Amino acid sequence: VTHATDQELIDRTLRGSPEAFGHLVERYQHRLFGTLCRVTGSPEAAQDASQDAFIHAYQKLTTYRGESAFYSWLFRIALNAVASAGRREKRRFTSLDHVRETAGFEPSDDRPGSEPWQGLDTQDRQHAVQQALAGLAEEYRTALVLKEMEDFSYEQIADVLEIPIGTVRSRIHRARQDLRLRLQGFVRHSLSGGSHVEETLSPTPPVPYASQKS
Amino acid sequence: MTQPLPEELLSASVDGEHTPAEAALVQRVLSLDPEGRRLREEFALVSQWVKELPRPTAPDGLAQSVMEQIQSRAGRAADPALEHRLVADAAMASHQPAAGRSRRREWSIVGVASSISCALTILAMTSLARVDVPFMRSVGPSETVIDETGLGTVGWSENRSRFRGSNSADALAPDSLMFNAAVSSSPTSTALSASTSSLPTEATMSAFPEQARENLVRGGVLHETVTGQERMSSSADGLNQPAAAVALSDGEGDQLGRGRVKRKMTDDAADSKVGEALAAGSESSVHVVTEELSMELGVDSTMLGRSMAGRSVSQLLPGDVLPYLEVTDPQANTTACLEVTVVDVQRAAGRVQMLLLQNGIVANPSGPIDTYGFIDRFESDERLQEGPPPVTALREDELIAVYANAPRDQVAAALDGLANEDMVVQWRLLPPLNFDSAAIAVDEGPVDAERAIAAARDDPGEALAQLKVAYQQGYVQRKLSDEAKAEVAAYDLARRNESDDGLSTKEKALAELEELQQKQQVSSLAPSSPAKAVKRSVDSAPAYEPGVPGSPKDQRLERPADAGSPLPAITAVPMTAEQRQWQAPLNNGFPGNGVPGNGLQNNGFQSVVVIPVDPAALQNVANQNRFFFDQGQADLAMGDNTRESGPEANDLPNAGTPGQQDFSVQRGLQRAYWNKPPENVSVRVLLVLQPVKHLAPAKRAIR
Repeated sequence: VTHATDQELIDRTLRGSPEAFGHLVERYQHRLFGTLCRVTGSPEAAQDASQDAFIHAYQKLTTYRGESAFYSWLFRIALNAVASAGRREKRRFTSLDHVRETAGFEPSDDRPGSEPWQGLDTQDRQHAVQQALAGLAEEYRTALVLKEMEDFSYEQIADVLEIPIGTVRSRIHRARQDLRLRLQGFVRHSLSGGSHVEETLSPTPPVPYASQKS
Repeated sequence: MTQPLPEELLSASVDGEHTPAEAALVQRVLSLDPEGRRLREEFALVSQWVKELPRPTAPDGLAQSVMEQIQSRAGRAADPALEHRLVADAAMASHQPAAGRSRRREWSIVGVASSISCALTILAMTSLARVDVPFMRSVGPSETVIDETGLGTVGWSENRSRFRGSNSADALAPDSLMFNAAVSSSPTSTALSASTSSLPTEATMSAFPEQARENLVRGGVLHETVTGQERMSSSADGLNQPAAAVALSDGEGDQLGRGRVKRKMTDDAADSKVGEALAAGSESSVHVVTEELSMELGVDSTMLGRSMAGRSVSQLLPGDVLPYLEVTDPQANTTACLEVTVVDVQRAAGRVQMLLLQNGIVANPSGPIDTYGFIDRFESDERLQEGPPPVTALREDELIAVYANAPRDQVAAALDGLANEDMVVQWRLLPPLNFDSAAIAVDEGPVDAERAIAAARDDPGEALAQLKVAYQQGYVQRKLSDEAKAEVAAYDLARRNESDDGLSTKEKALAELEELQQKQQVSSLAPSSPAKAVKRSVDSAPAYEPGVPGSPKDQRLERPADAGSPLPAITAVPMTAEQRQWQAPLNNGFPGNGVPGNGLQNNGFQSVVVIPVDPAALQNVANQNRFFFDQGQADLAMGDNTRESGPEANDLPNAGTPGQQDFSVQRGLQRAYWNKPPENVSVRVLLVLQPVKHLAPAKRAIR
C-alpha cells in the first residue's frame, strides 16, 4: 500500500477505507509540518494547521479532482487553516528560535572535513537565516518557503496561493531582497571568500541595484 | 552603458523562471554588468541558504491523532458528508481560544477584590508621527472601582468631585475623559494642549456630547446603545455581588442588569472583530472612525484616532479610552496622559518594566543627547555598557517614574500587555502635563504657555512652582474639591491617631517602617541602569568582562539555565544609594526636561514633565540595544541560550518583537548588534506610579 500512488490511496479512501488516508497522512506529515513551521514560525501553529489540513482534506476529499498534485491541494488547505487560526488567535511572536527550542532541531553542519570554526559559522548563519526568514512579511515568507523548501514552480505557487504568477515572482524577489539586507553581513562574508574581517561598521543598507545604475 | 535589469528578473533567473527571451537578456546584460552579477549571486546565495535550512519533522503522534479523529467519527456518521463535517467541527472546536473570557473573569475578580489600589499614570506623547496604541481592552466607568476595604464598591464621579458608595440609589455619572474634551474642542486650535487648564473644570467634564453620539449612530458606526448611566448603575449592582459578577463575566448569567449584559455582549462581539481584523490586517469588518465621520463630529480626526482598526466605535463612550490613542496637536507634539489604575503598585512597577523590556524598550531618562555615550564608545571601539531599566523601589510617599522612549509599535505592545494584566482596574485619559506645550493653570487661571515656559527657563524655582501648580491642577485639584481635600486631610489626621487594631501609634509606626523596608527590597532587574551610565563618565565606565559578576553586560546576557525567557531574570538586589538616586529620574532633574537642575525631589515635590521628542533622542532609541562584544568570548561565556549569532538572533529584549529589525556587523572577532533605526518613532512614555494614598483616603472620607 505504501507504494501506491496518491490517487490510488485517495480512491481507496473514497471507497470507504480510512486507513488508506492514513498512508497519505504518513506520507506527507513531515513535509507539511516542516514547511508550515517555516511559514508560521511556530511548531504549535504548524501542528494545529497540519492536523486541521489533514482532517479537512479527508472531509473534502470528494472535491479533489486531481487537477493539481495532492500535496499542493493539501498545502492550500493547510494555508487556509493557518489563516483561520490566525484569525482566531493573533499570534504575538514569530520566532524561529521558538521553533528550534520546541521542535528540538538545531542547525548543524555535517559536511565532512569542516573545520570547527566553519561549523560554527554555518550554525550562526543558519540561525540568522531562520531569524531573518521569520522576520519577513508573511506573504513573502510563504512564497519563498514554497519555492525554496518545496521546490514548487512559480505556477504551482500561484495555484496554491491563488495569486497571479507575476505576484509570485514579485513576492519571491521581495523576500530575497529583504533576506539579503538582513543577512548582509553573512552575504559579504561569504562572497569575500570567508574572511572574518568586515570592511565596514556602517549599517547602511545596500543601495538598490536600479539606483546604482541610474 | 547597459540598462540595469529589473531586480525581479534577476531573482526569477535564479529560479529559472523566465522566458527564453528574458534568459537571453539576462545573459547578455550580466556579461557586461558586474553589479548585476553580484546581485544575482547574492540572490542565489540567500536562496541556497534557505534551501539548506533544516526541516523540522512532525511530532510523534500527529498522524495517529489525525487518524483517531477520523476513525472515531467514521463509525458514528452514516452520511459521509455529515461525518466529514463532524470531524472538521471537532477539530475547530479544539482550537477555540478562550482568552477573552478568561480575561474578563479575572477582571471581575480583580474589580471586586482589589484591596490596595494605586494609580499608574502613563503619559504618552507623540511627535514625528502619531501614536497608535492598540489597547486590547477598554475599561469604562463600570470598572472604576477602588476601595481600600475591598468589601464594597466606590464609584468615582468626576463631575461631582466625589465618590459614592455603590449601594447608593443615585446613578453615578460616568467619568469624563480627555477624549471628551477633545471631542468638544475646536479642531482648529491647539485644543488638546490648551485643554490642560480647562480640563479640571466641570465644563469640559461633560459627558460625551449627545450630538456626537447621534452622529455616530447616524453614521452607522455606533451599534451599542447602552448608556453610561445604565452601565454604571448595573455594573455597580453587579460589583456588589461578587459571585454573580464573576458568573456573569463567565457568560453564565444575565440577572445583573440589562446594561451590563449588553455591554458584555458588545465587548465579546468587538473582541471577536478585533481578532479577525488584526489577523487579516484589515479594517473591513470593523467600524472605524473615518475622516468623514470626524468631520461630522466637528473634530480633528487625529484626536479621535484615525486608525481604530479592530475596535468598535461602541468603545467611544463616556469613560472609555480610545483603543487607538492618536492624539496630537497641530504641531504634532501634544501629549496625552493615560492614567491606569492598578491593584498593586509594586507588582505593576515590575510588570511595566518587564513589559517594556519584552517589547524592546529600555526605560531611561532620555534626552536630546547621546545619553549613554554610545556613539563615542562605538567609535572608540569600547564595549558598550548597557543595563535594564532603573530599579523602582517604592516609597509610599513618592512617585515612581519610568521613562521610555521607543517606537510606537513597541510602546503600543507594552501598553497592550499592561492592559491585559489582571491588576489593571481602569484606564483613563487625562490632561497632558507637557510643560513645554501645555498652558499651565495657576491660581488666577490659565496663563500663557509661552510665558510660563519662558519663566521656567529663566527661573528654575519658578519652574518648579509652575510645575507644582500644573500637577496639582491637573491631577489633584481636578479630582478633589476644597471640601473634599479638607476631608482628606481630616481623614489622614484621624488615621494617624486611630489605633483600632489594638496597636499603639508607636507600634504602628514600627510596623509601617518594617513594611516600608520590605517594599524597598523590591525586585530589580540588575544593579546597573542606563541612568547610571548617564552619570558615569564614559571613560571611567568599567569594561564588560564576560563572566565577571557585576558587569552590566554580563548581568544582561547571562541568565539561569532554567530561564524560559530570553529576558534577564528578576532578582532581588538591594539598591545602592546611587541607584536610588536614579530610580526616579524625574525627581532629579533628568536630562532634557527643559528645567535644568530643578531638583524636584529635593524640593519635596514629585512632578511629571514630558518634553518633545527630537530626532537625536530617537536615534538614542535605535542605539539603545547596540552591543559590541567579543564573539568567541560570548560563545564561551554565555552558552547556547544566549549566544548571539546574527541579525535578530540576539537575546536583546527586542528579539522576537514583531516588526523589529536588528542589524549586525562584524569586525575582526567582534560583532555589534543594533536595532534598525526606527522610521516612525515618536512615542515617549512616562510612567508614573502614583500611590493611591492620596486617593483612597479621599474615597473613604467622602463616602
